[in-house]
Amino acid sequence: MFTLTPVIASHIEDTLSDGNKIQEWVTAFGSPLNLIYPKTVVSNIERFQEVFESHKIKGEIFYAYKANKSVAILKQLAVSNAKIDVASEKQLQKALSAGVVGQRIEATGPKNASFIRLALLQGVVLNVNSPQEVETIVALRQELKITGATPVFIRLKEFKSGKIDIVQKDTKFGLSIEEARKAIEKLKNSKDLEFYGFSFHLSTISEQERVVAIEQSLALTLEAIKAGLTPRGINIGGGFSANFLKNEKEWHEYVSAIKDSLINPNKPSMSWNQSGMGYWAERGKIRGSAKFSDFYRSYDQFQELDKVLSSKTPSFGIIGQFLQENMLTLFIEPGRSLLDQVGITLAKVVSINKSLKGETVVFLDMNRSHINSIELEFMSDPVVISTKEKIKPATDGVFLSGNLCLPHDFICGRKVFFKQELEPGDILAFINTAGYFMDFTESETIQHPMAHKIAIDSSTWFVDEKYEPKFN
Amino acid sequence: MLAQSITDLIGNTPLLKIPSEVHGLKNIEVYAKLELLNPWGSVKDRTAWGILKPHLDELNDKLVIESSSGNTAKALQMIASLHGSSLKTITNRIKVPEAKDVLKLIGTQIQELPGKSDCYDPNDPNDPIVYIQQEIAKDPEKYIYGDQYFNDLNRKIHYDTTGKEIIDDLGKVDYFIGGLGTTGSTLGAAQRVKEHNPELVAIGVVAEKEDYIPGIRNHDETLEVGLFNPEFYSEIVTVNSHDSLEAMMKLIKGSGLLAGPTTGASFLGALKYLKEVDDTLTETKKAVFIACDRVEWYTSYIKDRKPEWLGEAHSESWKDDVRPNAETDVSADRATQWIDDNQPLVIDLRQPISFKMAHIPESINMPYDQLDPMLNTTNPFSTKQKLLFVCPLGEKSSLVANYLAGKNAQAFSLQGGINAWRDQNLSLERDL
Repeated sequence: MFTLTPVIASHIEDTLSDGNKIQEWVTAFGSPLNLIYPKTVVSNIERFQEVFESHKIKGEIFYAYKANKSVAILKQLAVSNAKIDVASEKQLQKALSAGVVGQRIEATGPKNASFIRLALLQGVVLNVNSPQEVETIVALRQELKITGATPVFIRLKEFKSGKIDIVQKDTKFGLSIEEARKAIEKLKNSKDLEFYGFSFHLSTISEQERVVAIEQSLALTLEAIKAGLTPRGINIGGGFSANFLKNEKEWHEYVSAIKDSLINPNKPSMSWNQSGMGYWAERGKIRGSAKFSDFYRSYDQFQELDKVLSSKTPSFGIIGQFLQENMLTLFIEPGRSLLDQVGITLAKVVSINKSLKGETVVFLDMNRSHINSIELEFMSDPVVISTKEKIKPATDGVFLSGNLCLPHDFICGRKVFFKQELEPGDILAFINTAGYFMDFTESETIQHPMAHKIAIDSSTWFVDEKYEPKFN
Repeated sequence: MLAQSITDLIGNTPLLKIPSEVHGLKNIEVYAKLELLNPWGSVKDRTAWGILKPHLDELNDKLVIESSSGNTAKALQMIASLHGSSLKTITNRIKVPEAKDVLKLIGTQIQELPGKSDCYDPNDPNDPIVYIQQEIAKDPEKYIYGDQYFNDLNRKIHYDTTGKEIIDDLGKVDYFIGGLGTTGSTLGAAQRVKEHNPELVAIGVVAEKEDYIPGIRNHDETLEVGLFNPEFYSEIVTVNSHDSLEAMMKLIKGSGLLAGPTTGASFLGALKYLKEVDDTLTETKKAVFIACDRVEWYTSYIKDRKPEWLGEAHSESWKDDVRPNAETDVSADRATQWIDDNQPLVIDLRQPISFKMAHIPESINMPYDQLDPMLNTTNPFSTKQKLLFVCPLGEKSSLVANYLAGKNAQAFSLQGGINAWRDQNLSLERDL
């Protein structure tokens, strides 16, 4: 038995405690079904703000909308003081129609002309990815005869520190240090663009890398100030972690069990067809790296931000203090961490079969696209909601298969250990799926329908698009 | 004793009998193999020597490259220096700041690796070895790669020397205990000892997964080590850093051994296993564990885990003597008028770099962090001159002004600090 018990916030516990309601919803809307708790986004925002306040700095939060398609979340954020980070023309349209004005929106990622055009017309902050994009923006401004200056962040890709020699992975977004210096010269003489500051995004668990990137951003910010620009601050992007699991020991034991099962054929298989979830055994040694992120974190996203602000850069001292002294705002763009405990995914058990090699395979009425984030495995155990009165204890772990007529369609490639034997009609609740899991790569492949979303506000619930936000 | 070269002093370390009141075992004599007496202070001196000895001629024109975060790096660097070369270490495991400082001091080039990617990217190698191989591939003739986790010379030197010395000094050994990092020292030495006594019980010590003990790995990490041979060990004992430090302290206080945290871990691992078997024994047995290095360069590691051991007495500070009094506050909206009327000396308490970027005209810069030595001993300001202190938000300046006001100075604080000043759109100057 290797379990991965999820962290479940009390508002989600409340929902799960009403099994009849859940059955009703799944019957009415079909399986899978996503539940969204829009108010929780606001409380996560408040907790980030508390961190800014504790360091006595100005901070602004852009919600990375790409993490979830829910309209209810947008509507709720429209009546909060958060801002929205959009990454496509359609996302921008939806943010605007949810009631968020252009000044509260930032456009990031690769942008085509029509995305930039709408952003320019609405006074959206553009997070610029390349020197060429600056040219495109200036040209489109002239075409559209836009008079007010367009606010821009300039994204950086190159980070150097005088004191720490760190290997950088290759990265395709942003400007090099030299290009950023040229951009400062250009912005200095431009009436078209208003410089908000430098930005970067790192998806790393290394504190040191982030510190080096901040140091580089601050160094260039000071150069910009010396050149006569008035940047508002720096934008350190997202990439804040979230913790999914209750128990650190369970997590470590599970990961060890995957590796042990690859080396020792006498141990029970932990991954479908011994695929190893990114690991393999080579002459008795484990090679490769995990195809899943650390679902257990000993610190949360708010502590992580606190750590960033408390850490020291070799050139500028403690980051929070330096921002405060120089009256600079810290912008962040959290997605997954802001959606922590904001959603769950319900799926119905359709049938059960034994595999050729004797594994139990449970077929769910959902497929991998409904819980898949760039091939990343979902590593917490779903909660079983059973209507049966008698429960049979389970004898072994099972594999959760999707409903696609394809051999590779597994909800997760790992063995899941339930206390009870699953039966057709049972509902599984995958906890904390709002951030990048429930709809990031969702598709109608083999004409299975997309999942519906329900937005829940304590005792009332809405179809996602019909959500009625209240000011918190 | 005359040594021709420092490398002649590697090895030939003594065994120290640990007093029974320190280990508390009735039927087992416990010996520490004092690897901390090697010239650079650790068992890794042998490893580095074993790996580099066949390459001494090449060191003129080659660099040594390795993934090491501590003692191996130190020893490789020292040997390399002797032969006009130096070490480049590519790692993401240097977690002890003192170790990093010493490595920098002796001339090691440290390259840090990026962290594991948080959102999965199938194009990301996420593996330190890949980066080392890429670096070597750029110029294969430039480097000697130590490869301590896979290089059999690491095991062999301990078979040839460490293990042999133990048999020479002690004869038959019944239990051998060592921490598992590269696993070379424990495996090599224990294999030799086992040849002398096929009944030898070898015990490996690993760290708990969520924990960190310098130089030894956790269960999962050992599975990646090329030299690791799980069948060789009768048992692998898991220890945590907290208890290891307690065990280290026992050795320090009870046996006069200035042992480090990893030595503490090996000793603890030894006791955990031996306590179980002690009661079942009818005749005296002998156990040897490796005292791999010393305590000195781990003080910050120890401070993180056992702050009470390094508790510093609270020293008297001017901050203890501040009596808050709102009358020292000057609000930002009347600040310019107040400055005109009173002609104060404006003292900005922020860091120099922030001061340079923007400050109140004609102010001077005295960083807050540097005030302590002055204010703790004296008041450097004239009591006839009005003073206006400025900080980011008016908190630190209020402390300083209130303290000095209590010392008869005419000290004031800009309420809300430079942020409030800026919010009033008052003029700021920049020094370029």
